[in-house]
Amino acid sequence: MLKRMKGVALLALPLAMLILTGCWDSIEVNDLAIITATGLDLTEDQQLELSVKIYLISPSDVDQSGSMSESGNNGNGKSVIRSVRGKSIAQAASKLQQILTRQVFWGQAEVFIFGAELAKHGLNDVMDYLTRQPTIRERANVFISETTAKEVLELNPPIERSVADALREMARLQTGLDTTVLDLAQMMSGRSRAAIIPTVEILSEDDDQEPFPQISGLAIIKNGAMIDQVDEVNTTGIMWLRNKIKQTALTLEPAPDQHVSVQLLRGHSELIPSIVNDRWEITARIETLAEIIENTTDRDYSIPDHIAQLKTDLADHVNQHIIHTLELAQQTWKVDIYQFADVFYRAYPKVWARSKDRWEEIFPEVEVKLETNIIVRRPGMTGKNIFKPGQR
Amino acid sequence: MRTVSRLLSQLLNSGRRRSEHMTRIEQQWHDQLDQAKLSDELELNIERLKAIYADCSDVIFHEFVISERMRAMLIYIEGLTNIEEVDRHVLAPLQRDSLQEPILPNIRRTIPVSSIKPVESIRDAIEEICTGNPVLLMDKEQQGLSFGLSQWEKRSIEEPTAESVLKGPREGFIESLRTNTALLRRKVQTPNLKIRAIRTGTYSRTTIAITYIEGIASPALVDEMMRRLQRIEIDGILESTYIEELIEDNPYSLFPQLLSTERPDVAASYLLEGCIVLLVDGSPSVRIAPITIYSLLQSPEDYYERYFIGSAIRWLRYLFFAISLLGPSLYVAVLTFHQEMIPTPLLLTMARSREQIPFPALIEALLMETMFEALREAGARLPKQIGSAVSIVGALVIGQAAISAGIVSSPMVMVVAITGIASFMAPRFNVGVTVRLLRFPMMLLAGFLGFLGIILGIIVILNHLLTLRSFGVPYMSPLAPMRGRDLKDVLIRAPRWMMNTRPHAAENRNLRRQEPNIRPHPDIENERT
Repeated sequence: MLKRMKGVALLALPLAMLILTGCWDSIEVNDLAIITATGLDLTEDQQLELSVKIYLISPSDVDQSGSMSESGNNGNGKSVIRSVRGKSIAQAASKLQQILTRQVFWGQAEVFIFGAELAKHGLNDVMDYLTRQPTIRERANVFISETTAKEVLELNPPIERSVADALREMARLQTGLDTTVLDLAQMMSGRSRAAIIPTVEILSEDDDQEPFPQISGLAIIKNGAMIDQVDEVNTTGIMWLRNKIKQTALTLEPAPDQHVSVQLLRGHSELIPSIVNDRWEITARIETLAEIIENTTDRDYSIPDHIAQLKTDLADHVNQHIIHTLELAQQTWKVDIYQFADVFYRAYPKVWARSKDRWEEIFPEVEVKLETNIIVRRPGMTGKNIFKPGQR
Repeated sequence: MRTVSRLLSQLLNSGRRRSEHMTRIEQQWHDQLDQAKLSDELELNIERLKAIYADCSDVIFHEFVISERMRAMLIYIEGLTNIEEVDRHVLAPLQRDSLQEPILPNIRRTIPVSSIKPVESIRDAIEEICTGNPVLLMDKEQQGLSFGLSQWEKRSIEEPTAESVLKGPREGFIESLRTNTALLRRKVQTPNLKIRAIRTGTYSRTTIAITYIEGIASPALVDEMMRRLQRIEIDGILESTYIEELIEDNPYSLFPQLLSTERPDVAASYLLEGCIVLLVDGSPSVRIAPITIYSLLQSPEDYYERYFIGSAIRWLRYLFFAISLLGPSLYVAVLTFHQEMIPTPLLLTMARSREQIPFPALIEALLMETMFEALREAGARLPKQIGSAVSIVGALVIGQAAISAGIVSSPMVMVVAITGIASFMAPRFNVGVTVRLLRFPMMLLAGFLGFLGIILGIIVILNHLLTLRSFGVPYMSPLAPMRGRDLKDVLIRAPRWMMNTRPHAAENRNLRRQEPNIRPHPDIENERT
């Protein structure tokens, strides 16, 4: 009898555990307000404006004819934007829930856009919220918009499903500009306390082209606040030293109106630190494979001697780029966007511990040696320019 | 609670009473028969047998005179005996008056039948008559004779429909025990193939054949099997599942602990691995023990295809085994608890398709799965012609219309369909059923607790599998406990030339299966010369 009671209890207990908890924390997909993109702006009265793009699942879109035929009207125009203001992001976020009929769901927010005003004011407080909240994706991309973030959210780029998608894809294609919340948090809290975030500008309306977001360059963040923006040319200069070289084309102009262009295939750069007699030095070893994609010069680049010449020319060209941005970083901004601090810390942890407070003084004095090696692998499918018989 | 336990105890007690009742009947029956040695008076014997076979219109008592001197009686059951043969080989020689002296040895010599057995008691006579052998009783003789001339209508040997293969033998077991043992004997011709028989069932008197290869199967295993079989006291055995339920290690487990097959080649392959094959008269499906869970996921074709294909298909099967267990529960868990885990475009599509569905995902899943099971069962029970109609109605009308009517979402229909197909991939039907049953608690767990629930469920199932044994062999072996040597037939289907040792059931007896190093290779030495 006792044994039987025990058996019943053993059965009843797990069942009770299951049923009494109910559907703890469960929520149906249809009770979620799915946020796909988030924008944060600083308003004129110093309030934080949180704008979210919510994917709209309107019943009229549900395919009535079953699963087989997918109606053609899906794509854009199915999102709404809601904005709330608050003293802090947490306050704004809780207000957001009040104006929505469905539960705010951050799990699919793939893009965070900070307005330029907010970025200049400082991102530290906002980032604290974003990294503390478990529901927010660490792999969401961050951008800084030159206009307000809300304006970017309002765009509906025609090719991609949403503006969030469009921005992500663009950032991903331009390697190195892909900055996630996690990356940003690491850069901002790292030893150099400097970060770079891709910036977004809106291309204004053309005749038949809708306004359109585009990645325009980089924002330089120092101690959590944006201090400057750089254009695309300088962006490349920064990326060379950050080991995030784009698959891009370099064009030289050896003589007026004569071009030779190479396509970079893959590359690698390495920073080698050394501290000798308190002289802080970085050797940047850059190695890249390239192939010729255009040659309208008088030279035939299937001749090895000419290739050697091209190599040095290319290296000079790249070095110029690098040195230009390096000067900006060391002299104008005095901000370690290359994360030299980490490189030194790894090689000389004791020296670093002694001198980390002086890093702002040391960084502008760091000497950077460039060892650029661009290997031209192939002259392309044709050797000589077959339309230019005079090449030699 | 008290009423429940009272009910339970009543039920159990009534069962006990019934079994006491049964043994009493059996005892009486046996006593009566054992006392009854055949007497030398024909009249007395016939009287007894007629009393026993009262109201049995199919039992024929044919009275005749041997060589015009000796009165005799031939008793047989109509339909179980080959009457033509009896007429030609038993009655004809006896009724001729050529016999010098009608005594038993002479009679025995006269009859041109290969299988003649003496019958000593009424009990013997009944056993013989029941199996279809005609029994001859003679006046003034204390012995009767039975002739092995039984014959009854039986199905011809066909390919088993439940276990069809593309390659491999196409014969299957049938309902007749003797045909089945013959099929096995043809595959394994060694005299070491032992076929022991016992009869169980108070009323059905069913013969069970215990088949094993002496020298490979462990004697302890055979003893254990005999012990368990002898323990059975039951009124009738109509199918081998009766036996299975009475001898398995854990009667409460959902997982089958004996393998059932209708294929002689499968049975023979297990015999070679040291397993015991149980054949039950009247049942075309034989039972094999001991087995592991991996045996249930193997198909004979794994071995009849080349090993690359065998291994690949085996892995596909493992994958779909997991899908058939977890498919709908993963979907429910992700949809109600872990929406951040789905890629955004997929989530948006799912959300859109679910927008007008009135039920939560859990209810939707339970609804569809129940519907699917009902369709499957209906399809299986109906005659073939109507069965196809059911499947068309099920697939097209229910599936498609349910989506358009907004009762279920299309991703759910897809998940259910994939899970259904996955469960049919299990090569043994009974393990597919097990998984389909387990799917429902898993769905509930997923609906209540999300991934946490699924993990809890998996832990419980794994725990059960790890404690389960089939005739002493751990169910999860050779993975747990690990026996590296045996993994060659679990993780992959190793090439034939690598299967040098027998697996688990052999218990280290006669482990070597073939010569090592039999991998084919070019004969270099011969080529040089």
